[in-house]
Amino acid sequence: MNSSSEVLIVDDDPAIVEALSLMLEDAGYAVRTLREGETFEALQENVPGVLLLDIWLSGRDGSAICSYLKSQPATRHLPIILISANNNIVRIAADVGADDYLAKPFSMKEVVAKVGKYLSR
Amino acid sequence: MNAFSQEEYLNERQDSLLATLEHLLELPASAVHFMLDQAVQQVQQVLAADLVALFFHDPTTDTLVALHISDTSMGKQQRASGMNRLPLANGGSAVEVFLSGVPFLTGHADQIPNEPRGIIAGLGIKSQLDVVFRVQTRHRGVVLAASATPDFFTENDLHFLEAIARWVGHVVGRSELVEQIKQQDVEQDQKRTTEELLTIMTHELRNFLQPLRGRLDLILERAKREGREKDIRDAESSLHTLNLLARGISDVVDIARLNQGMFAVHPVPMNLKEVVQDVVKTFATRSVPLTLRFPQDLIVTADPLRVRQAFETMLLYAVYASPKAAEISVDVSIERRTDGPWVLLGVKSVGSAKPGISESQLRAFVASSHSTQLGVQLYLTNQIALAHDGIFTIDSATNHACVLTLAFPIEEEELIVRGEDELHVMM
Repeated sequence: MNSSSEVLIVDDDPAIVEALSLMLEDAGYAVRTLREGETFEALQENVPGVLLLDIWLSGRDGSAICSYLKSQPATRHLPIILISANNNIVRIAADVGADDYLAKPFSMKEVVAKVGKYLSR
Repeated sequence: MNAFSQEEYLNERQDSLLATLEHLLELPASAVHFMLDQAVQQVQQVLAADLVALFFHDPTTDTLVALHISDTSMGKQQRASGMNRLPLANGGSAVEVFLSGVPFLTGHADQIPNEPRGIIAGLGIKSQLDVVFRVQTRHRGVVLAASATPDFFTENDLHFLEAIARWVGHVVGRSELVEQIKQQDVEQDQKRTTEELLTIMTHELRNFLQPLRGRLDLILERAKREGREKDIRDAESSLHTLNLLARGISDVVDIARLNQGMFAVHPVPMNLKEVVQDVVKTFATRSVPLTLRFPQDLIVTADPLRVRQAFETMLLYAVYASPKAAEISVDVSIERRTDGPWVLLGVKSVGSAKPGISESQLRAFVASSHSTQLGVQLYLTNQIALAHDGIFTIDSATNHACVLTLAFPIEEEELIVRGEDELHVMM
């Protein structure tokens, strides 16, 4: 369990970011969003409770971001849930040390249950 | 010619044959046609032959076809008279050498019975050498050298032509190998492009569906909290349609991958119980009594998304094939077989099967991708089983509308089994 109760969503698709935010807020979570992967270095100072990270980001590779965060002392223990529409999400998540994954299109029940595994409301 | 000059002549000839072979070996390997053309010209010159021709066997017409002919008057005559094509059915020494593989030397071709008339009368050949060339062990054609002079060639010339034939075999074989590799590269590129297109297409379509799915889930949750029955039904119905659409997209992409030979599974250690429970939860809006029996924890190595896809199909089919509200049972178990442990995921429905679907139709569904959506999904379930080195079976048994089993082998050292649970839920 992480000390912060905030869920950070990083996805370059605004419609997905908005839908995910609404679902998690409806379930009682505090949500912060980022549309680009470029600013993820800022996470070192403000570590969220859980990171929902899309694999295909414009300009950045979400799986590389995951690997990087898992190699940094400040974010090593940050639970990361990779999200993707790719069939090989399971293998990618295992390869880059992600804690979990969500295969699109996932349901509200699934995302709330996955976030709930790592974060209390 | 005295003894000394005879020996000198033979030595000189031997040197020039060797020089020719060396020169041929130095030719650039990239241009095969150029190499073989050069070879026939040089062999013709060194043997002082009137004709040298390289015949290739064309299996479509069962004919020896001279693709490389020396630039000599007899060579031109050979082309003009059509003697550059020798059907195997017509026989003759070149054909016999091709069939038998035994080299042939004659100084009196005009005395050989069954030699094609065009060779004797048309070209006026008296002396002839024929040697087969092979690619690996297969006879692929004949190297022919001819002269209008009787008793023109020697045994040494025949040995020389045998060396040339071996070289031709190597050149042709290497060229075919290069072509084969190029073709494989092209096919790999095409597959890679197709895979990229499929991945992008799937990604885009699923990304479009994701916000829609999220919004519908939210509408459903709010409607449930506020007790709005009509909105609950509408949202559930829309979600059901959306799920069918998502499955349809996945099925189309999977069939395309299967057709391209690119269907793959991504096995990782997974808790089978979690997957089974997750799937059952997604079916929770239907009023079907369901009994689950499985070990408390069962860690196996498999592709969780594919196992989930297969299990969803099995449940969908069980609901489809069974009478309304028939009880469905799910059993997860380990079976010790001669080749090691296998995990069995079984779905059974109680009661008689609905009329209208025969077992033979069902087996046809599983065997072919050309059927209805559920048929395609059963076919894919079978492919998922095969990709895990397992099997998927559908049977009927007494008191059961259907019995579906997905079974695949697992590694003993990766297997973790703890306790057993029984759970009764309403799907």
